[in-house]
Amino acid sequence: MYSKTKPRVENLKCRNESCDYYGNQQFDHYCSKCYRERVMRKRLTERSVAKSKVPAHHKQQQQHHHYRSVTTKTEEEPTHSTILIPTDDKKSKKRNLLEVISFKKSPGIPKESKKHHQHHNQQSRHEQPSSTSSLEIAHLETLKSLKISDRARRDFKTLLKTLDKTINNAYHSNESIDRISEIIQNGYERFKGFMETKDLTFYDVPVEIKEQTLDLFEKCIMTHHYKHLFSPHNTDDEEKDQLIHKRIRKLHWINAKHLMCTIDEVNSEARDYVYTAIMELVAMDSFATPFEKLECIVSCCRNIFTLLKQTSGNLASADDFLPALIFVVLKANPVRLQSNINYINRFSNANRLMSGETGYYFTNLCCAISFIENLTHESVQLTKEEFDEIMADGNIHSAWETALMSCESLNIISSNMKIMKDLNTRSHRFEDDISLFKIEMKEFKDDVFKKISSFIKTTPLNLKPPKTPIKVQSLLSGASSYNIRRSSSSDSSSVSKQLKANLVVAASANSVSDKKMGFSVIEENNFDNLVQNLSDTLQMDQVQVSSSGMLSTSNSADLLSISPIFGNPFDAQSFDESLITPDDDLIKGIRNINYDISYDISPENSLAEEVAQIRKYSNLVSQSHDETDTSIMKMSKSDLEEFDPLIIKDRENYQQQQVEFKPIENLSKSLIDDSPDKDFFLDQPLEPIKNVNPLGEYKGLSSQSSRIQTISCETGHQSNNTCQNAPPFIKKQKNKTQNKMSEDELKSPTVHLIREIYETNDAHEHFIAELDKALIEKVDYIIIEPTKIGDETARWIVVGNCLSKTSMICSSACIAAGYVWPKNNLIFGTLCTLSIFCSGLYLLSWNSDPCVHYQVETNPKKLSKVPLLKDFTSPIVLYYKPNTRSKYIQQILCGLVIGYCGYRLYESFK
Amino acid sequence: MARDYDHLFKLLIIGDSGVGKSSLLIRFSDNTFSGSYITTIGVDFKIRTVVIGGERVKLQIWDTAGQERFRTITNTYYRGTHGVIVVYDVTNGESFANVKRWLQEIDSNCEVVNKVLVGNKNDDPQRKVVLTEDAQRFAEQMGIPLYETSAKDNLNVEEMFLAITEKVLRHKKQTQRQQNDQNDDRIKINNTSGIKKKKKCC
Repeated sequence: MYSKTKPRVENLKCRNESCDYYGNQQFDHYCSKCYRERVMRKRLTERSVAKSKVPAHHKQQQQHHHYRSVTTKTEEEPTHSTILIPTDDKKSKKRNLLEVISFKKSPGIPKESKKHHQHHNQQSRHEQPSSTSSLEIAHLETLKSLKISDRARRDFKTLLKTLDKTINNAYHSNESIDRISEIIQNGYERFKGFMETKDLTFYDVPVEIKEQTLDLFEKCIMTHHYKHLFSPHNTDDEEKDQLIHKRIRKLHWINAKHLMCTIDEVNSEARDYVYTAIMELVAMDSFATPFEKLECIVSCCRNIFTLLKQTSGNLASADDFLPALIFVVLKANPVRLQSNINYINRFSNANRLMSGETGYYFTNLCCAISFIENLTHESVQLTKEEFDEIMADGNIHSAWETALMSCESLNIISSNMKIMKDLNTRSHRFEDDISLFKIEMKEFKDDVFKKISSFIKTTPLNLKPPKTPIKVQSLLSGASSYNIRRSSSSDSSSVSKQLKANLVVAASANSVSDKKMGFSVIEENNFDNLVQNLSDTLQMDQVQVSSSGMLSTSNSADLLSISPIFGNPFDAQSFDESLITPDDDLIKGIRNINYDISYDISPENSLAEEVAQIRKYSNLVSQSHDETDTSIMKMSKSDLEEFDPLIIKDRENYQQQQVEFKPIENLSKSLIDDSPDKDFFLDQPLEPIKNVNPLGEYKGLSSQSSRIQTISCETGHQSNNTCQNAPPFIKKQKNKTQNKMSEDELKSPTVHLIREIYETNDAHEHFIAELDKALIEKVDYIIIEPTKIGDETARWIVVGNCLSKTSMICSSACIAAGYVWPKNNLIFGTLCTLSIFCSGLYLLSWNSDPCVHYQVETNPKKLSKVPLLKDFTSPIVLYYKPNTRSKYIQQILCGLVIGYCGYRLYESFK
Repeated sequence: MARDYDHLFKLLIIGDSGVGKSSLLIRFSDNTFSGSYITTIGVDFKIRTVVIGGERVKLQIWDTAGQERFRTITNTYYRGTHGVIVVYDVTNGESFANVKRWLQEIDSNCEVVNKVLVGNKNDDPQRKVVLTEDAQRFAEQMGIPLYETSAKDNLNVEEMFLAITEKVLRHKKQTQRQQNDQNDDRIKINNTSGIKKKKKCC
């Protein structure tokens, strides 16, 4: 039908009149779609002529069923493409439907042709999973790496798809393998022609690349269709395979002499070559494409040539090569030999088989196979009787095999010997190392012992006399009054109780009588119990100490366990902290108790043990502590959570550095003065740490003690770290307190630091957020390190100030001008407008901005007073300066101006 | 894009075993002379490019096993062959006698092919058994040129290979011309039809 249409010379469009697409010479001037459709139709009509008339779509479905059954059969080969295996039933149904649609459609309606193309797209998407197979992915990669243009690549894919479809159709319509072979060969030719055609995408590509592309084309196609084109069911390839396999098995006795070939069977080097050749030949079956199979054959034959060259000493000829190849084939007995040969013959690019090295070797291999098939007694220089006898018996052990076996075992022995030798040297080295290590260990041990003994000598354990409780009490009472004075919200009586408890427990460490005295003061039962427990523990320890005379590590741990639970050791600072706590429960006070017993850590006990014990105790006491908390203090859950050491958030999160200074110097000094001896305290934990962490970690002393919850026996540093965890709400509290406080001598400036730390991508947003927070919280000083945000803020403030001042001046001037020159409307009007404009702008942009309460500090004298400033290189310092007054003045002035202006307007209009 | 050759021919060397097929081949391909170069791939698979009449001709010469027992299986070699070199040993009468059989084999395996008869080992006149006259007569009878060569002394080898190449090339061009003529005819018809169409349109 279509073939009858006239070939159009000028018209480039598809020959199908209804189609808007351009045609292609290769598709008989049809567009690719119409061409395929046409081919399909043609095939179908042929089939329907051959067979009885079956509805087209029904047939199509049949094909699919057939196909699916095929694919399931070959599912065991995962490496090969799964192009048409439907992923699920739904999809397959859809596919079938689509196929039917495309099939039914008449080419006369343009709408449908559009659909057609859509369908094409859809189908190509369906074919996408085919690329999942690793081999095809590799091919795709190769395609990408080829030095051809993207358009060429697209053309390549299009042509590939076209051929692919044709093959599929041919296969489904049960075409003979020769027909498919023809189709594929034509496909190669067409592709080659396409590449050679002028003005097409491949024309400029160098010859080598073209060859590579053609190879790749072949590879892609054959990988795709390997599973149904290799040894297809409608041929007798498989039977032939069986036959040749059996035949070679029967001929196992043939050796080099029979074939009159020059291979030296006993020579190990020759054997290696033969082995490699055999391996290559056997490997041929594992490749999917004819190209790769041929490469295996070439590699095999090259090995044989190298072998012949070595054994014969001079150049080998075909007279030597063919027997050697036959020998190798006989020894290799490759699986599916005939199938592979046929596959290559049918689907490899015909030019390759005709010429070149590959063709030569392949031809030789074919010869070798046909020789083996037709092998007679004459071929192996035997009489007919001998030959028949051997073939019937089949039990001759050739010299080759014997040699192989003996060589094999010798080979194994020698390789084993090598391994043993290596192992021996290694073990020797190992032994040497061990002895060296032993010596080192001994030295280390001695060294440690020596150090420890010297240390024990220099720092003997001596129990210090107990601290006089009166002193402490007097101190505490003073401190508590101070604390009460300072605390705004807390119950003063509870604080005093807490302090007393502090005192009591501190004292109980030293004397039981003191403890009892302390108890009399305390009224709450729960707390009483707790303290009782504690003092019991302490007492026990005390006894142990007195009995042993010298503290063992475990004892020291027991003792220590009290301080860990309750927080900081009882040093000047922590004590101070507990005292200044404004609104905390009694327990917090207990946390800060330290038992002033110095101890030596004996080296025999591991630190881990200690820590474990400490943990145990801490758990025990924290339980009781929690009880107390809930029963007495009725703390909110959130508070508890905050105090829970397990829930304390990572200190890293607190990048905002809040430093609060409290006038604690006096108090701590007095404590330190009161302390009997420096040696009296543990070295590390008791050292009052005053220096601010260089990282600017938060250390709000006054409000921090309530947070201190962690094990404190580690270092004094720890307490410092825990301070860090103070959540911001404390600061709010603090501010409240501050506002209420009238005494200025106790007020220390609050500072908010914005560090320039770029940890995340949104560091800048982070800075802004911090600045906003600081502005809202109205801290005394804000130090901004990031220059960008600092400059921006400073500029903003300055502009705001400027506007404000301008507005005020203009307002004043306006009013003044109104009085001085009542007639001069120009000056008055200008000033009035300026004033109203400035005020309005200020009102709009600055009035609601919290940063108007801040001014940029530039005075170096004042700057020097700002704490922590020396840590920064070029900070912007903002100080809190409420502008309410000036704001009101400005607004009043502005109002006056507006009023006056209105009045003047009214006057003028009247 | 320029290829390194204009024509690619496949030549086959056949003949009894031991007549010196391989040595001929090696002599031809391993001898270097101006304007040509050799690519050696396998030991007995040689490629050589020669220039004939300004055209580069790439020759790939396939050596074959000449043993009697392989005779029946060598038919696969003939596929796509452009020219066959039949070699006999001038010192071996039997090899000359077998030439007839070889020629028969060629005829049975491929239809149109250029052949050349080569008497090798023509370096020792005392050992020469096959007389040049006999050979010449036989060659004329069969309609193929005869060359007596010596791979050992490099006698006539070059000439022989160039002659067969030329013959093949000439043959190829002839067939091409025939095809072109046919094509020209076809194009003419097409052109006329096109013109006619145009006229119709006008």
